Amino acid sequence: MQIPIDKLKTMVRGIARTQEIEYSCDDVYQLLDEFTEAVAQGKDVAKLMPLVQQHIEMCPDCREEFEALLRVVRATHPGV
Amino acid sequence: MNTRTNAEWLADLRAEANARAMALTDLRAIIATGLPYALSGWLAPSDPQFDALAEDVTQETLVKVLAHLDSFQGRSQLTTWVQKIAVRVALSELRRRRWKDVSLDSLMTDEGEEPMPVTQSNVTPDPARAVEQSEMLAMIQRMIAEELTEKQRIAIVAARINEMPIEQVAQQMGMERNALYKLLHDARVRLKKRMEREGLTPEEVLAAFGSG
Ligand SMILES: [Zn+2]
Repeated sequence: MQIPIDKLKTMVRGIARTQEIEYSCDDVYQLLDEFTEAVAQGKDVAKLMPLVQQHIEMCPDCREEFEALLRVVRATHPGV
Repeated sequence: MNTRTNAEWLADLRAEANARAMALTDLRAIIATGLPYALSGWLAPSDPQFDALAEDVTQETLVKVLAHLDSFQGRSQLTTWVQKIAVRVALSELRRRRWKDVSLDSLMTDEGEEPMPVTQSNVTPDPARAVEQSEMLAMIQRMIAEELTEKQRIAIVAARINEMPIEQVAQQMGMERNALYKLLHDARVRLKKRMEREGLTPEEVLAAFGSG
């Protein structure tokens, strides 16, 4: 198994953004509905829920789930 | 259909017989409306697998909704909370299907090979830069070998290099997804601290290999 240079860079960028304390996937799942509605409402989630935002940047699984939920919220709750 | 308040939803879902059945029917429809958007890019509604998946996801979601109703804290629309559960159920199933034939073993280094060598294929032709790059690669490989546990290396190769979902990596390693994220987080923290001790910043590494 070799590390391609682009993957190495992605890893290094991940290290650069690493915090001593991060939310886990379970922490994020707890808050994902609230977070997604806030994004749909155009709120500044990086300020309001920075740990959720950071986890979603670091965790591909949670990011996919957030993006899927955001599509649903935008399509079905245009007013939220 | 979607006109109940959170309090009305909760009352109906906790009610007996009729009100509850009607609420569940409405939730079913709400999930069905959301799924094509949730699965956009994953599975098209025209796909022959879509209807069966949607039915399974809806069923499992409703079971979870009823089981976890008391954990709903009212910090979002109840319907968003339900959609969140449906998204998790649906994507878990699709990831499982997509990755079911890939084993961690098949991704790992052959016997005797150094752990995680970095490919040198697109290293610069500029000789001075090439030396800098190969020194840096050697340093990074040493850090990976010395700082990380075997489990962490396996998890990084699978999740970060091969982009296997962490849910699948976790399953194959006999762990919960939450624990696997923590394992990867711990690996990043260790590498970050080691880089700090070595006086190497992420920016320097990125600069050495060119931007982009
Ligand atoms: Zn996560």
